[in-house]
Amino acid sequence: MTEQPSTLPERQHGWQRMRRTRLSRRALIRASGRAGVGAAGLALVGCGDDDDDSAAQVQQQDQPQSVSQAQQQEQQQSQSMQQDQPQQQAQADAQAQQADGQDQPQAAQQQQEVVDLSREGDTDWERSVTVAVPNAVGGLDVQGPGNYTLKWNGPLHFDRLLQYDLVTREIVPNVGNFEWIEDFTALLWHLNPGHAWHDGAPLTAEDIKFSIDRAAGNAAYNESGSYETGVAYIVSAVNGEVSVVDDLTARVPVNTDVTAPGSTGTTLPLVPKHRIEEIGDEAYNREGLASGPFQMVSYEPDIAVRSVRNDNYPIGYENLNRQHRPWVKEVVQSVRPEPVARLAAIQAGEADVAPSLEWELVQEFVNEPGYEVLFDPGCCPHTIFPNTRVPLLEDGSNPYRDIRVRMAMNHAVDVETIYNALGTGREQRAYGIGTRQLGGMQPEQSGPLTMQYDVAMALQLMDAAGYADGFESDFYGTAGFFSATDQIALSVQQYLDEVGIRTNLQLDPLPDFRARMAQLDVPGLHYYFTNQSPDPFQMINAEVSIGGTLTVAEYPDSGIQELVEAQRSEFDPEQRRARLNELAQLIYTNASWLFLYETIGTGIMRDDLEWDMKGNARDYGGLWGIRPLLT
Amino acid sequence: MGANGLWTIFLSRLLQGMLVVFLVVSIVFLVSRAARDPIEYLTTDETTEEEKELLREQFGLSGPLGKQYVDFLVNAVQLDLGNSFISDLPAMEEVLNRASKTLQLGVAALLFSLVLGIPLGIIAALRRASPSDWFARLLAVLGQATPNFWLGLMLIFFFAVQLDWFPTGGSGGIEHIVLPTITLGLLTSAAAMRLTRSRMIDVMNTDFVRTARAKGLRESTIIWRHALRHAILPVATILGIQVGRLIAGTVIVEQVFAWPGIGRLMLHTITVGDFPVMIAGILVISSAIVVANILVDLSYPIIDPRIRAGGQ
Amino acid sequence: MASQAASQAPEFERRSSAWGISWRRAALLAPSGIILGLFFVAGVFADLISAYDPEKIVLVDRLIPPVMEEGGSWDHPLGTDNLGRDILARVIYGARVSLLVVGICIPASALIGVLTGLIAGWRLGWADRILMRLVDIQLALPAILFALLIAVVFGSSLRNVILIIIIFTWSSYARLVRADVLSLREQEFVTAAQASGASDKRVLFRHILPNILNTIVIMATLEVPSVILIEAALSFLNIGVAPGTASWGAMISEGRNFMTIAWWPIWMPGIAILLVSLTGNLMGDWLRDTLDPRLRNVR
Repeated sequence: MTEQPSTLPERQHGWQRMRRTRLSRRALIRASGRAGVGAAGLALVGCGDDDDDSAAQVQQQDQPQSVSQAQQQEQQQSQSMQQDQPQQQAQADAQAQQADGQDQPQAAQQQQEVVDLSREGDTDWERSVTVAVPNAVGGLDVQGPGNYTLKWNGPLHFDRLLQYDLVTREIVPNVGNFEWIEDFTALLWHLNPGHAWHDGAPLTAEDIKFSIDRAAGNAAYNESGSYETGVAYIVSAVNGEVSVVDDLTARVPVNTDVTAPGSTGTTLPLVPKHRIEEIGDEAYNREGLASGPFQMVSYEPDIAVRSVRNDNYPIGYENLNRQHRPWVKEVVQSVRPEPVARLAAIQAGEADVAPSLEWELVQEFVNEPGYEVLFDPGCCPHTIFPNTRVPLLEDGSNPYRDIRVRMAMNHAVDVETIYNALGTGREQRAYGIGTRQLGGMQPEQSGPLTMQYDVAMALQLMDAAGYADGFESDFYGTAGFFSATDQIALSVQQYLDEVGIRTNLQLDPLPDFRARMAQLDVPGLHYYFTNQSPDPFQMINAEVSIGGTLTVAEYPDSGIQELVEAQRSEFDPEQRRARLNELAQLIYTNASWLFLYETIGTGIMRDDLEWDMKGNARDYGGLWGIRPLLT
Repeated sequence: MGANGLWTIFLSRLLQGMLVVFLVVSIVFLVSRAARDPIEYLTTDETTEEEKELLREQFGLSGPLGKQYVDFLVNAVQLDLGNSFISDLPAMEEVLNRASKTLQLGVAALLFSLVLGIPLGIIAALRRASPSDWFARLLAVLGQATPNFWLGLMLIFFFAVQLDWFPTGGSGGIEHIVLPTITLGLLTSAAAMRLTRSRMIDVMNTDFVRTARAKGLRESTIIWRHALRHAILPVATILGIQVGRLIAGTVIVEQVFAWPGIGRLMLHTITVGDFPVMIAGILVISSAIVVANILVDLSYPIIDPRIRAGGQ
Repeated sequence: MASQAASQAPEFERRSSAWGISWRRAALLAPSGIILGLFFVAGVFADLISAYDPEKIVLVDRLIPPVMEEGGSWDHPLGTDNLGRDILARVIYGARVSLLVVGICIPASALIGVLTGLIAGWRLGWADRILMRLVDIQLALPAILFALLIAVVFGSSLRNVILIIIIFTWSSYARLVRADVLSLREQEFVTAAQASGASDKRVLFRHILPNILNTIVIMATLEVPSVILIEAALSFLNIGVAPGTASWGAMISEGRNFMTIAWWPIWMPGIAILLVSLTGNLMGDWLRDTLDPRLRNVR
């Protein structure tokens, strides 16, 4: 890359810069993958309405300063996010870079796009699809406290500034792009023209300023109002006055990278300034005007939510790898809290899709005509964290501080038998942090390192550690949040019991469980999950780094903390990837946790629908991806 | 006893009832606040302790428990239970929106259980040991021995999936309420049937029924004019108790049949720690139970004039 | 009066065996007694009878059908559940949980409730008001919801389940007994006993209590299945016995997510609940007739 790591005043800016460099590099890699399938694929992606071709985009990163109006316009055109498909350059690099492991699925995907588009005529454009969902409660103001987590509303009806690319898992422009200025202390948000609210009013930079101000709790429009800022922490990165540069440009001063996956840019939903100022917060909470791919028609709490396709949504069907205009004419989310009742609704013809249903319920439909069983990657590898911070036993000792005990735990549990029995047959062992692409444990590394099921070895290790008679420990898990966690916990409990780790198991709802884990001083085992976002950055901060909000298992003398710091301050993407890989290996060889596996989510759908999320989990936010087929 | 006396009793019972509701709400408030921190439901893994503290202040969850309780009472007296943590809508509004649905289901289930239970009980009592007696008793046992969530699921699979007579769940037309009503009402109808039956048997053996028979009154007159009135007294008591159990039942039945009532709302709010809605819901539910029981108490003197309400 | 009552009683009541039990009834009581006896024995001697540890997980043996189904074997006569645990063993140990729950909850709540009802209905005045307010508080406290709260605060365990059930159920006895006492205290035999100088205690326990035993026994019988079902309902809401513990309610609750692929994990404990309820009811009826003072006078 042309990027020069110039003099950086502060480390945090360095982090942002590093991230940017990494993203732009990966954008190129991805583009080369696309080019690999040839001219047909290129022609198709070339017709994107918000995709601008530019080979020059990377050079601009080093001098992003405040710019004039005219320049901005041009920059938006030319720079328009590194993630976008710079096909010419891509084509040139194609042959050389195609060997990169990440490219393979994309090449396949490219093929898929060709097929998809030639089948436009097969799509049933008038179809209403009913989705069986576990609940639909809350208000319609997506920025209201608690409401931003509501799956059935936020992702369906509202837009965010950025979004994820399904294949590369990188952030890509949505309603607009960003540009770093003033030495990474501020961002310019550029809105793409053509976006409008569902009432027809155009989306402007005023709306961006308003959305950020409102979420941050410093909106001037309603000082005496009752609005409570439940999402304030989301925008804690904004450390100054947001200003409107022109109709389509807003300047946002920040102190951390809000363009990283999972940060404000990808999570903060936009709300309409004109409407909220007109009718007030309370009325808006009952109306919920939005600008996303679906427009809400009616909402009956805990009964049904009806939404129709936003035919004016500017991101068209050619953007197959990201949120686009939906195919279905109408989507009805019909509430069925009991999993068995969701299945019954499908069988009775009252629903077409039930995205998350236990494997036990759907497995007999795998070969059943009329149905398609959905397999999705689970959200996160299951991991059990031993608390090493506080004493466990009465004498003040903590066996989990002894690596031999932790290794014994890992050898004691027959992970493969558990997932073969309880799973779909597609599960894989988990090795802690990081996806393979981002420096996680590579297959060739994990082979020799894997702590296989070996009771004799486990007993030997326990004996060597001085716990031949075992010890007692509390064991906390969750119930009812992810399927099968209770069954997995019970199985693990029994395996541990066989090597003398006698546990007292308690299962609680996830938030209660997390509250206990966050206390950091509750001794015993905590059965939680790792790796919830595409980049392990946040997960490392929360669960690995000493002082993290959930770091109960800390190992000050292991060298883990040093690697955590190292990857944090590493600017070079290759180097960071290498540090992450070292960290992943060290966490595993240190037997830091009890490593289980990544569950596969399942669901069920009528077979006259098609729902391709390119290997990502199908959930309520991805309903735009359902394509009804003409039969 | 004049109408005046009845009013006095009614008012005193009402005051006592309000005291009861106040105590119930206080117990729930203190137990729930003391034990849980709802902030965990509104934050993510990365939220720091300072940010959580900020949120606690915004939601009125900081400070000592006693102060929170006093603040709560002061607001509650002004009929302000706060806004839902989740939806930001007034908590009372959320609850009342759902209450009508539960009322529909509860009344339907109660009617179903009376219409099924009392006649069956009378028939069974009058024809003891006949096939109809055995049938009624078997039905009662089955009704009392089947876990309602399981019964509900079975009904769904048989009547909604196999036969396609009713929808699998949700709310809307009259067809939606049939299966939940049966599921919810079966247990109560079994209780009503058994009580009616045993009371009828007792009453039919009492002196005054025999006297009436000796006087040559028609059997149907004896049963309907005299016996039933005595037999129904404990049934009324049972119903007072069953109102509470029906509400407990609705929590499960609403969950199984996706019935958008107060029970499911409460299940949700307790699991997600939405305090304002939880307290509002407890307030509404306990008031409903108290009122139902006052009505039952007041009905004693009407059903059986020998008892003077209040027992003077 | 006695002879009159006898002539009015239905026909079969008079064709009595030597023990005062009709033959037809005896024919039903014997199997009921055997089933209840089995339930009792299973509960008490579960660890001696059962061939398997009910909590022993054998993942490779999951969802083996019962012996009468294809694929079943005598190794697991009632099959295995989703974690390969032997269902027969779990039903047997489940009897122990149910026995504990029934055996502790019903006497405890009946004792509390009956005493409360007797005192309130007899004393009236302030005692009545205070006791009845306690009853009202219990009745007005939405039980399942409060149980949810309790479970979140104190965790789920058998002890908490038992406590919750006692808290749920005692007040029904109190109300019923109070209503009956209110009705009885006005009757001649009570006023006569009072007039003859009998102490309150004597009137309550010698004259009134025998007359309401009928109601109490029926009530307690009614409570047997409902107590078992409350336990099941708590399990359905994930707030029942500790995870892994074999209880009938928990088995049915866990089994519901497999009901489309395996019927036995949910039916076997269901049948157990049904049998115990059925026989419990029959025994209750028999007890009722035996204890009922008016019928007893006849014999």
